[in-house]
This record gives sequence, structure tokens and C-alpha cells, in this order.
Amino acid sequence: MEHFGRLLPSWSYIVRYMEDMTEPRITPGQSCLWTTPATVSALPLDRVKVDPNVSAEQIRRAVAQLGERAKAFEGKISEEVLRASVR
Amino acid sequence: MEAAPLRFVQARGHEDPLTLLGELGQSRYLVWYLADLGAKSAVVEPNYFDRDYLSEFAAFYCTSSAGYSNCCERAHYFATDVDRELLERAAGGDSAAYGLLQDSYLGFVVKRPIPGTPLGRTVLRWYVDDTPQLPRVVDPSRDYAVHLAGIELNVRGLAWQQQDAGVGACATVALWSMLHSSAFDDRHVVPTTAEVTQTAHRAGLSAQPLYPSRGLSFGQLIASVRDSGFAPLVVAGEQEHSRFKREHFCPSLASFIRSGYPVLVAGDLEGGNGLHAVCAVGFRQAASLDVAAGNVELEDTRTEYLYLHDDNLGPAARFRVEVDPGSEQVFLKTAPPAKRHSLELVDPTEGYPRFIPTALLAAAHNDVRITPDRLHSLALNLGTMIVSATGNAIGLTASSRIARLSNYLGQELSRVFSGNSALLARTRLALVETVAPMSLHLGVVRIGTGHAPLLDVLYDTTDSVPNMRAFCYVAYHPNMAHVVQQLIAFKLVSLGVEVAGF
Repeated sequence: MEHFGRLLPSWSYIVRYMEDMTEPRITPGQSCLWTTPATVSALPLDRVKVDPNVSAEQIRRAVAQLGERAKAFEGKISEEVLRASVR
Repeated sequence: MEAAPLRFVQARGHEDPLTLLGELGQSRYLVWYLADLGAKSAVVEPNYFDRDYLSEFAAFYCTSSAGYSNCCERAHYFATDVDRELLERAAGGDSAAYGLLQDSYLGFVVKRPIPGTPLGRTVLRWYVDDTPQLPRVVDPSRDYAVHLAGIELNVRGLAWQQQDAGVGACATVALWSMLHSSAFDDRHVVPTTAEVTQTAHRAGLSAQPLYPSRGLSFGQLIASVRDSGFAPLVVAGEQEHSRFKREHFCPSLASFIRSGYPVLVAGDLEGGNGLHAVCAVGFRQAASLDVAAGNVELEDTRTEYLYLHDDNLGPAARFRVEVDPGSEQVFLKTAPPAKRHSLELVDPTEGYPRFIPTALLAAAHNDVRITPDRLHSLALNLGTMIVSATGNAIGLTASSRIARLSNYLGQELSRVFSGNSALLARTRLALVETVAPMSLHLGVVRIGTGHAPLLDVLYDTTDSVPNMRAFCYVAYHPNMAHVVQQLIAFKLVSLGVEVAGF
């Protein structure tokens, strides 16, 4: 590519343009976890770090506090549903 | 039976088979749908032997004193004017003519010779997706190859039909649509509606007569899936009368469909219509939003639109997910997209009652033994641990799917590492070379911040819930890897081998 760049002044522009095209441009609120590349730049990841003051017990308590919210996913099916006739 | 020539008719003209059905609700829906697809013409095969109808005929209609024919009619719709000359050119091998036919092909409708319930197997193309960055997720759709005078035409969709109330009820046709899924392309013959009903009545599962079919119990539906050679995966509503809250309903349904499994949704159709079943074939992907620090949100909770094959309406009818403000329970309401045609047609979904879901049933591959419930429970727990370990400094989103190992290594990672081929190669090889042999299907839990993935955990789908284990986790950022390492050091989780995706 560099070789062509010396021959054709516009080539370097094309190369830069193509590199720009491969850089993901994602607008928050218009994308999701399954369509966004993990390589998206400018993520606020400085806050994703271990807080040395948090203990294992505190984390366990946080999970326990999910309570009713977690129970929704226990997957129990009632007799009422099993016997209901679907027409 | 006598030979008859093909008919070339104008869409919505007086010879269009759908026009000839008059005011039948499903026919009006199909006319509207095809008008939105830009249908201009149809080619009608006057004699067509349909596998599903032949099965229904053999099981039920052949002994009727009405003297029904065993032969159907099939109409192919096109978004261009197709006449005999164009078809002759295509049939003679003219590639330009063939290209025009294929490009404009919208799908087909089989018309049974049963006056009260004439609409048989129907496959129509999806509308163009106007927002691909938040795609309409239609993974269960498959390619159907049809042959018209030796010309092969292809359409991508999922089969729908009207219940005939003789051989099949709404639950039967919903189950029949489910078993057409693309997920089963490689090793499965799709059962006919008659076979679905017969399977459901095996071994004294019902006190009802086999035919005419008066509906199936949910237990029979589960048995029918199992006896058809699939794993029945059930998610039931957790609220009073087995109704759902949004956080349970939307992510469960989205996870199934994203995995390629259409979903039978059973529930109450209001207005005294009793229990009803439909087949969910797609949904509009919800956008990720930034979650407040200290919280974990299941991304698909925001799902707003579903696409349902409802035998009362037609294929891919769009419904909006709404929540009762008092009980917070989910109900579904028809919400067709803005019409794309300029015709004066009455909205065929207008006045359709609310549908309140109570249970979801998917037919999965036999080796899959976990439901989205289990994956979402793991996602919520892990997400909460991660948030907590950072001192509630961040908020996270989570989502799940079941993926074939080859698809995860192939398409999924390719999308995640778009534009970074070196990292893609390194991660793929690490998954193959450093992780113990994984199951054919994986339970994938993805955790991220906003819309950006930070972590995938890959779970074994082949074991019982108490023994369920993670094969490995792929961290997409070193900071996330450190947080997970801390959770493992605290002995709070076991997530298998670490794979660095950064």
C-alpha cells in the first residue's frame, strides 16, 4: 500500500478513508449488545475496576438482595397451566 | 381431475384467489400484507398437491360426505407484472427473465378446497428492515424453495396457516410453525398438522376425541414436542394466574428467538375468547441504554414489538408489548407498522382483543437442557457481583442466547471483533486450544456496559441445573478480566478458563 501511496497521491487518502470505515461508529441508544463490536472506542471503562474496600460478604449480600427479582426466573410451571386447553 | 393452464392475474384484481375469498379476516390480512410488499401480480397453479393438506385429507377429510377434493390451488405473488411471456422466457432458461421473477418473488399462498378454512401453508417474505442497527430478529426464518413450471424460486420466511378446526386447532398450527424453524434444517423432517395432532393424543394424554380437534392442553403440547424428537423448553409466568412481568417475558422470548427457536405463546385472549396460542417468529431488537450505576438490566426487557403468526390474523402480525399499570403484567396488543401502500383498505387487525401470555414453549435440540430462565438468573447474579465488586461504580446490561458452538466461533465472534482480525484469530484459537471440549450448543450470557460487550460466559447446555457449569469466559477488556478474577479469588463464582479477548 505504501508503494502505491508514493505513486498516487490520492492513494493515501483512500487508505485513510478505508481505515476510518472500519472504525465502528455506534450511537448509544441505537445499538445493542449483539450488534456492537467489542472494539468500540471511548468506553467509560476507567470505572470498571475492583474496589479494594468491597469484601466477598458484601458481594454475597448484594446477590441475596435480588430476592423477588431473582425468583421470577426459577421456572416453575403450575398445574393450572399444564391442564389448560388451548384452542 | 383435469389438466388446467396456469392463470396470470392482477394482485387484488377480481381473479386474485385472495380477493375471491371475500371478507374472510385472514384473507384481508394477507391482502394488506402483500400490498405493503408491493404485490402487483400473481401466478396461480390451479392444481397443487400440498403435503400438509394431503395429510389432513388422509386423516379427516377423505371420509367426509362433502366429497372434498385432495387437490389445492397455489398462488405465487410478485412485486412486478408477470405475464405468460415472462414466465415462458424464464422457463426456457432466459437468465434475465429468471432474475426478474426471483427478485420480485414475494412468496406463496396455498388455498385448500375447504370452504370454511381455505388458507393453507403460506410463506411470505418479510418487509424490508429499515433499522438494521437495531434489527428485526428473525433467526427462526428459513429458505423455502418452490418450483413453478420447473423454475426454482426462493423465499425466506416461516410457514403459517389457518387452523382448520378439523385436524388442527390454533395450538396445532402454532406448534407446526415452530417445527419449521431454521434451527432444525440439518436433521429434521417437519411434521404435518395431522401428525402434530396425532402425536399430542398418544398414550391417553387426552379425553378429547382426536378429530375434529378441539384444542390441545399445554401438557399435550409439551408431549408433542418431546415425541417429535425435540427438547421442550418451558418458561411459565411467575405472577398470579401465571402471568408475566416485563422483565421475565421479554428477555425469555428474545433469547429463544435469537437462538433460532420460534416460541409457542399460550395465553388468554380477552373478550371471552378463552385460551389461545400463537407462534412468535421475530422481535424488534431493543436498544441498549446506559444503566444507572449500581444496577443490572436485562437488555431485552425493553423489547417493544413482537411478530406473531396468529391463525386468527395471519403471518408475522406485529404486536406491541404493553404493561398493565396496576398489576404490571404484560399484555400484547396489535400494532401494525405504518402502511406502505396507498390503497383504501381497512386495517385487518383493528379491534383485535388483547392477548395476555401465560406460558412460553420452545422446541430445542435434544441436547439442550437449559432454558433462558436459567441463563437470566445466572446473568443477574453475575452482573450483580461485578457491579458490587466495583463498589457500585458502574451499571451493566445483560442478555443471553443459545448458540451452536460453530456459530459462536464463526459469526458471533466475527461480529464482536469486527475490524480486528488478529484479535479474532487469537480468541478463536484460544477457545479451541485452551478450553476443554465444549457442547454442541452453548448457553451464552453476554454482559456489557450500555451497548458494548465486556464479557461472554459460555455455559454447558447438556447437564442438569445443579451440575451446570461454565466452560470459559471471554473478557473483552483487561479491566473486566481483573474484576472477574477477583470474584473467582473470593470463591463467589466458577467460570472456567479465562480467554482474553483484548
